[in-house]
Amino acid sequence: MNGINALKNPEDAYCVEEGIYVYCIADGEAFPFLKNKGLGGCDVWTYKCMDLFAVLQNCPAEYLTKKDEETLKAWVLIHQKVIDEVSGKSGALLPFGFGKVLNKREGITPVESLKNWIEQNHQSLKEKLERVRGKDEYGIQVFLDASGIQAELAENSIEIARIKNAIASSSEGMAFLYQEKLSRLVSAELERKACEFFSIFYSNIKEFADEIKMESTKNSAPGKKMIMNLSCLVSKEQVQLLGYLLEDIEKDERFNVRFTGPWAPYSFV
Amino acid sequence: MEPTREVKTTLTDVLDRLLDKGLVLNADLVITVAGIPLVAISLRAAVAGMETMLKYGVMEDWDKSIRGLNKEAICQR
Repeated sequence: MNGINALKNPEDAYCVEEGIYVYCIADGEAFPFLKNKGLGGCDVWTYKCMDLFAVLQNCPAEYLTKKDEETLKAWVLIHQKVIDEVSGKSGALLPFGFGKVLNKREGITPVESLKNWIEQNHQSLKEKLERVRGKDEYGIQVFLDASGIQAELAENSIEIARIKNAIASSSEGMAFLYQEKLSRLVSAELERKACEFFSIFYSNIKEFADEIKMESTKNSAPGKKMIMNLSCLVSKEQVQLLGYLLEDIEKDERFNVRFTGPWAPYSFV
Repeated sequence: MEPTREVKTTLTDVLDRLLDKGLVLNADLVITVAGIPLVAISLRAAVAGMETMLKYGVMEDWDKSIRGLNKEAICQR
């Protein structure tokens, strides 16, 4: 266990001196240990405080920083796996991001620090739990077939057709300049189209999502353009309907949709 | 359409959520783990090029094992 002592039982929590790694805060019936092991094969245990509980493992901060990249990648997934297990057992949960460690400070044990923090923020934590109860986070990414749209634009735009004719009848130098103009025009048109599609899809998706966070779009495969990257908080009964909507979007050959989840509500806490 | 976290889901989706998001503790409580932002950057850089690496057969074993872990997590839900 790489020098980290496992707890014999959760009541020993106050004895943890070296640091605790925090996974999430949840409500519902607490359970002493999780089936899944945590980072480095350590036991994952729960600490009850008021009507909430925290999911933790003991782990000094130095332990986390000394690991190689491959181990850290696997640990990110272990973190997610622990959250998944709690999610299946608890009422509602508020996940922490990866790598949050509390250490001993000024004679206060990490668990006492956490206890104080929960007590001071109890009201706000309860409100957040209510906000996400019965809901999960889903990722929606919509990709546009940029090559197809560009071809479509080239066929239908009078301005583009005019520049294309000019290229055909110009000298090499002038043709180059027109070509530059053409690619700028096509890009601008593509952006305009992407905005149009975005607002249509967004207003449709909004019907099924309680909350939406717009994420920045990313580079995608050549010929594809990500026009939408959303994190949506969706209640369990709306997920299927949202799925139907996305299916309809994907029926149009110009679009590809990635629909991922359910995730713990990382974007809504 | 069913949401997925299996075959089509890559580590990128997990990193997007786990590295920048989640509940926030008071800054004076949490130990600032100096390595974490760097970890985030290097993990992202590694993952960004992963599709290309897979295309050329690099990291296939790693990808299978990670996806295996992910699938296991889904089954446990």
